[in-house]
Amino acid sequence: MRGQDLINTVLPDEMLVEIFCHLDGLKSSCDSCSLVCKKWLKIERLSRRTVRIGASRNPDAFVKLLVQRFVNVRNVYIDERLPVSPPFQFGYPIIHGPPPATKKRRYSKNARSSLEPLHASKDSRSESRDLEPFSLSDAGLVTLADGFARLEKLSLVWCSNVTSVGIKSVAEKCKSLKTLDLQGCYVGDQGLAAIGECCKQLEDLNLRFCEGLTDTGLVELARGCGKSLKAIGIAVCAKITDISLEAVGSHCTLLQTLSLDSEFIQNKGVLAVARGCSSLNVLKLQCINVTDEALLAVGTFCSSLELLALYSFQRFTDRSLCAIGNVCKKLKSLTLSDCYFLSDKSLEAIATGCGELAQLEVNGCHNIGTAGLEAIGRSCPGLSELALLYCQRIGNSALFEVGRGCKLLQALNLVDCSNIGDDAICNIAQGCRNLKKLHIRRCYEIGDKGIIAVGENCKFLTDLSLRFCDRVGDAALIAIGQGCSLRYLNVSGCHQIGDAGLIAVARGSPELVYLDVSVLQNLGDMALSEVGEGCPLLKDIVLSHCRQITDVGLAYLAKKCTRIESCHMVYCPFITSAGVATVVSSCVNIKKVLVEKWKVSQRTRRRAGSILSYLCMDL
Amino acid sequence: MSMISGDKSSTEILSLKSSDNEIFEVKKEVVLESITLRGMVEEDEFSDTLIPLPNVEGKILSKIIHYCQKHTEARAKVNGSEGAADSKEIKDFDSEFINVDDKTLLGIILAANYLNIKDLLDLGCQKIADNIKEKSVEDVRKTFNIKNDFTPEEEKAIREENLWAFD
Repeated sequence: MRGQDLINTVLPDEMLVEIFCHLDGLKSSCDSCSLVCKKWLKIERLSRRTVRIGASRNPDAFVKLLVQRFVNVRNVYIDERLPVSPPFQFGYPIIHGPPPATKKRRYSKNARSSLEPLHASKDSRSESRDLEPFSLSDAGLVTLADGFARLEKLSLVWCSNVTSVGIKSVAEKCKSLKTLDLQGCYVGDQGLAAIGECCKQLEDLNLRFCEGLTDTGLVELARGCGKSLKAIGIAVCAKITDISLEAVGSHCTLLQTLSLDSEFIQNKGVLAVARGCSSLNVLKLQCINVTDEALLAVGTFCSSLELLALYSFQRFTDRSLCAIGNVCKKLKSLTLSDCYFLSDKSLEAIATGCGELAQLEVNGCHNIGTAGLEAIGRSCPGLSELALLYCQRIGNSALFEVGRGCKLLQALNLVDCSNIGDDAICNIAQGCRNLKKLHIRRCYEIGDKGIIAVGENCKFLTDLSLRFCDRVGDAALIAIGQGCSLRYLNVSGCHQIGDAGLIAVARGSPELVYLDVSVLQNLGDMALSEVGEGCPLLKDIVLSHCRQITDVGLAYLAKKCTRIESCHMVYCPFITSAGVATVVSSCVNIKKVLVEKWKVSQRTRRRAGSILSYLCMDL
Repeated sequence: MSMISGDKSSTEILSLKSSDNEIFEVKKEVVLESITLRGMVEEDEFSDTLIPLPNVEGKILSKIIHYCQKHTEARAKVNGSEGAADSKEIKDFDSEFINVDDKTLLGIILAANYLNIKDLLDLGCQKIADNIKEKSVEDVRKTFNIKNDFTPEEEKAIREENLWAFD
């Protein structure tokens, strides 16, 4: 006998709203709820708080639809680099690569159009260089502002047709705005000034690639919202200079977070912020023209500083880091990336002064060696995350001290540290029993011995990544399999690993969610079928370049691991269209399959066109 | 049961009566976890008598009291600071506590809402949301015994509507 529908008969509507709000805005869950029954559809639409959209064929009309459907939205994220999954009649989408990261100098409006999403549709001729009409316009933004009067967070990424007019209407209609994020938008000063005038609750401002903004706009905004602003981020905005930062220093006295990525900012600006914003908690600098003078000021005035990150080609010397070490006693997180002039002295000063340090990343700082790290190991007992990238000068004894002194270490990340070997890892394993995450890439001195020690000692390890460590083999994974229940495993490129090692992990890690075994020449079907048996929760799997696996192993895996959402399997000569079809049909939640185009049958293409991504051989 | 020294409220016992006439004797400080009851008690109307709760049945009320007792004790251990809810012990208790059948879960949520016990309400709603999260539409309907009242055309239309964005 069927049970009674309890939820709809027993819970009042506002309880259902409360439950839907706990779905964390996960679109797939919200969509599922909207399909359950009519009551849920109505309530789900009322409870939707977050809307994320990519590019679309008619964004203005689309926004009209959204404001009618979801009346209580608070957070809107529009990213026009991302293609919407097109309806089936548009053909196969070709997903373009990751968004352009730091290639700032070469970045201009023209360059961008070559990175636009390509839709292999019938209308492609007219689309190629003429995508602007498909971009959200000011009218669309006005509709949005009208419809979502309680808007709290707005993020516009590469909405190249939006200008001050649109932003002004957001300012006037959405007075509760708390977060504004503009990236690659040609908004002018009047827009920002309007925000400053109207949005007195603005807490978070992020500007990236905003070529239309000058100091005028930002100064006006600082004057208007200075009292509420807590976080500011400015990256690659060529016309924003120290003048803006001086205004920030005068008006934004409660500022907690500042993130700057610009070659146009100099010492004067950073000094002004250091002096004016004594509550500064988080400071991230990627400014080639800022030197010791500015950082010394931070080291003098910002005693509340908890996070400091210095990126690329910085000219800072030991002097400023010593000042930071002296004053910023609350420092918890430090990132030093490509800071060539910093030596062990800097780390020693930090170690002495900042006993609460919990996170440290040293990336490519060629003058920092073993001594600096040893000092950290001796004086920072609260260290919980350590990352050493491209640190060829750091040797084993550095990690001995860390293993001895940092009992609370939870995450260790080593990339290209050619002088760190098995003994160091053994020491870490024996000393840091709380280790949860261990990532090692291209550290050729590390082999089975170190990893076996990890398996024997680190019972809480859940995330293990050993990439291109060619001395690591099955013995290591067998020890891991016996000692740790993993959720994430990546052993890409450790070509000594074969079936025996993977089988051991499969048997010992029933909660495995992510597995990458790419570039393992010795891995075969046996391992795949054991993973199928042992890891039912698997969501993501990377099998590319596994030359021995066949459709048989793949089928075993797909039929048992039905929750798989993504599967990469390019360059696997023995996987055929039958294997691909099995994955697509057995894994009901599948969202992405990366495979050679010619391995996909017509039937599979019809069933699952939108989730397939193809290896582009012509590139 | 730990006795906390201090004012009268920590040793005063109140009586709560469920809808099915079961009576529970509870320390006042535990009762105060409920904002609704706090209002009633502070008005001093009920300080010597029984507080009737016609909306909550005994089985559910007993669980709610257990939750409030545990949380009051945990808070006392860290001297009333905010950290109490974060301790591993309390987290483990909460996850065991909320691991109940659907009918009880709904009862707890309704009672927590009526009694205005925010943490318990969040816990219950999160649990139901978690039960919904990983499921397909059909599975959600099966789990909660909900009848699908859409026509196939209506369902198709909604699915198409939902294709609009990325996650």
